[in-house]
Amino acid sequence: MFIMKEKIVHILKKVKQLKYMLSPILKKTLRFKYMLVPFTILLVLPPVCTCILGYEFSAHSVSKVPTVIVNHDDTSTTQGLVNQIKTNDKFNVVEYSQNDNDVKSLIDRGKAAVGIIIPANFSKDLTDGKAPKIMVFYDGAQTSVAGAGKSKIAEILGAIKAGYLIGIGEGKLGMMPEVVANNINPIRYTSRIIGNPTSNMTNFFLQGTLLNMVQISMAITAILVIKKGNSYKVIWIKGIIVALIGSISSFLVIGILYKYFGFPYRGSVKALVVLTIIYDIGITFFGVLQSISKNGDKVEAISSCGIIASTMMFAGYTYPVIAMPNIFSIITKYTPFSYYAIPLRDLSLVGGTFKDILPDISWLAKFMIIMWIVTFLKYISNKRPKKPKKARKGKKIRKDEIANTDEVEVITG
Amino acid sequence: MKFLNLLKQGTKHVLKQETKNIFKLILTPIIGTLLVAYIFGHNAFIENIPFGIVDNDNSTLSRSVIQQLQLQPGLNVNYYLDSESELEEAIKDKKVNGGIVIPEHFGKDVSAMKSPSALILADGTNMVLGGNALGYASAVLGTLNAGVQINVFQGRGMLPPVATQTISNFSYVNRVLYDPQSSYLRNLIYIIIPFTAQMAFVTSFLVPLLLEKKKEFACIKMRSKEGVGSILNLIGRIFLISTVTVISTFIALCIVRKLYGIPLRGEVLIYIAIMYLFLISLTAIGLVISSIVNNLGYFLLFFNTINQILIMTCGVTYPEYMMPDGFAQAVKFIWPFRSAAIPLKFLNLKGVGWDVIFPYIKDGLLYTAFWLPVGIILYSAKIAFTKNRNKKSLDIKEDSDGNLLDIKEELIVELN
Repeated sequence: MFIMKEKIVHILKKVKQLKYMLSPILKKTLRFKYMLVPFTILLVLPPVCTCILGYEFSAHSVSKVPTVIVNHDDTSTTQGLVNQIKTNDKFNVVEYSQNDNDVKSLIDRGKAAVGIIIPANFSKDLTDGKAPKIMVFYDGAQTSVAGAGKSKIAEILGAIKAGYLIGIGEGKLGMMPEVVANNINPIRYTSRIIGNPTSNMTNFFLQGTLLNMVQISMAITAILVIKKGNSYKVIWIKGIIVALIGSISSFLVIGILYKYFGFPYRGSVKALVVLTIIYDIGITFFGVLQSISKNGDKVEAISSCGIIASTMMFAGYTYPVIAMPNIFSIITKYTPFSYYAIPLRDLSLVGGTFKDILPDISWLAKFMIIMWIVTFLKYISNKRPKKPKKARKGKKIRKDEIANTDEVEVITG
Repeated sequence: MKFLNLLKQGTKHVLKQETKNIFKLILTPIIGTLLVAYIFGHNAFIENIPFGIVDNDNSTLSRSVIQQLQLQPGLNVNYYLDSESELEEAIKDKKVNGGIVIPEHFGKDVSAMKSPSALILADGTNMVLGGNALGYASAVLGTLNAGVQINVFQGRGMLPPVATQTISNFSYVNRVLYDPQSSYLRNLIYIIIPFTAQMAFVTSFLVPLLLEKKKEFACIKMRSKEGVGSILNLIGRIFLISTVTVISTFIALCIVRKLYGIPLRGEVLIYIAIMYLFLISLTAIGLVISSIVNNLGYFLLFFNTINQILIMTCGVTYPEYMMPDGFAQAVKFIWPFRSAAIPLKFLNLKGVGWDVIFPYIKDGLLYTAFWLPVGIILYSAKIAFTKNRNKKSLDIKEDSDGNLLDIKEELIVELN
């Protein structure tokens, strides 16, 4: 017991000594806390978000669509249809019912996204040529789930229809079995989805969403690390450091998606690196511009960075520009995100070389240089002494309105 | 009477303090919602998708296929190429978002009942455009296929009306409930509203106010008249801005309903209950955040970065049952957005009643019941800790009310 106590005292002494030794370094480090905290957030948070979203979307495409089946026609034809749906991985039959109202009720409560009603005497009416109709209901409030169910239902019912027509061909028309398949399906088609063969929605939007987070983070970090009295040289260096940290964060995002969540990257790594760094510098200097424009008011400057988050929408990253009002076809041309995230998605999904993205790199390089020039000009204009506003006759000037000038007489109320 | 006077004075004071935020909280949800509605509400369907053609057959049938594709309003057939590889390149270069390759002897093979196969290529990098192009093109081929099927059956001796009836005998009807057009706008608008409200409420009002109040509370005695007044002022301001937010989001919904025909089907009372509960839940988690964070800038950086995660994890863009086990529960436990987004969508789009909404309200109540006391305890503990630290490090003088004298300003500077 005594030895233990002695040991603890010894360790505590050592810790105290270490603390004393490190105190000058700690003090110096704390002086840069205003930079270290934002840098850490910028570097760590987007990769963490990538892990969260990657984990959330790890199943990739939607399956096991909750389905309710109301079958009023208990025959072998309809049982075959029900079995096909039941055994298909795309569906999860949550309820079999005999009441049509259950479809609406379950969809209303969000318990089912697809409802199938097979009418009474379906098989008999089919044989009699009375064209009975299977009703398929989808929940419009669960678009992604309904969409996944819709294409599979079309496939299953299409196959059943083909079987039915083959039966007609063989029975009524007396066709030979080997001929009938070609006859009832005279024009066929196959499809190929370039770059995303499994129609994976996650591949379509996840990368851009995460890079959108990085760009917002970079612009705000730039605002937080710039101090009011900083010279342009210091501001420029800080901007570049923020952009480089942001780029590392972007690489981590893409790397984590690739390594742990099966997100493809088929393009040139050099193209990725150059595209990201140039874009990140440009966007960081947008944050720098806000910082200089708002003259040190960080909250106001951060508020004006909100527009950056919307650039994903303006770029037509998820919703196509051709479906937007015409003005957006012009706005998109001046939205830097469309020269970064869209080519990057192409590089990831389709592949490509440095040469393929040269036009985008050229646009982004111009954007970066323009941002440097604009921030510099704004900095210079802020440095110039401003002429005080002339007071209107008879109007009292509030103290805070002229707080920065000493040329006007202060009239307090 | 005295109480009423005090209430009147207090209300006036709170209104004066929050004028700027009232405008912000009125304008942000309305402008945000209108912008989204303007962008996504312009076209109900995605049409005029650039589409390429590779006709290796050049027969009457292949020309008929092309003509039908040209007549399809969803497609803009504007690119003619010589080979599949050229079409693939054109898709990669974004000149078109889809295309069709009609093989050699296509017309001849159809006549000979060899069932030839056309190839449809679609741009997988833009699923919306590529998917729609594929859908439109396959619909055209399906219609043509049915036409040829009828001809085949007639050729086998069936009467034309019987052949038509046989082909259309097996059919099914698709009905998308509540949103027949499956529009992007209706899918998103009901979550955009609480999202913009949350953004403005948390970043422009709640956390800045709680941080400011934390500094104020650290300098006054809470049991004094000034302390009680300050707490009431805080509650009054939160209540005022919450009410403004509930009203402004409702106005935003009414405007998009009027301009873009967005359904607004549920009971207003349920809407009010969901929104107030959501804002109370945000206040609860806001107390926790402001007890941990001292620097508003760091918080804004953090919140703006993770903001989009809240939309992606709320269960609207990706179904909850597809998420890994425990994920949805964890999201529900950490942030209250999900408890507001889904019921608001169900309420407005489906017009559901209390029975459907109640489980979500229960989630919100449980969330608040846990986080509000935790938030209050942490917030109070932080104030007590700051007070204690300052008492130790500074020479403190108190007036008769127990308020700190002289050093108030220095303390505020230090806390900054």
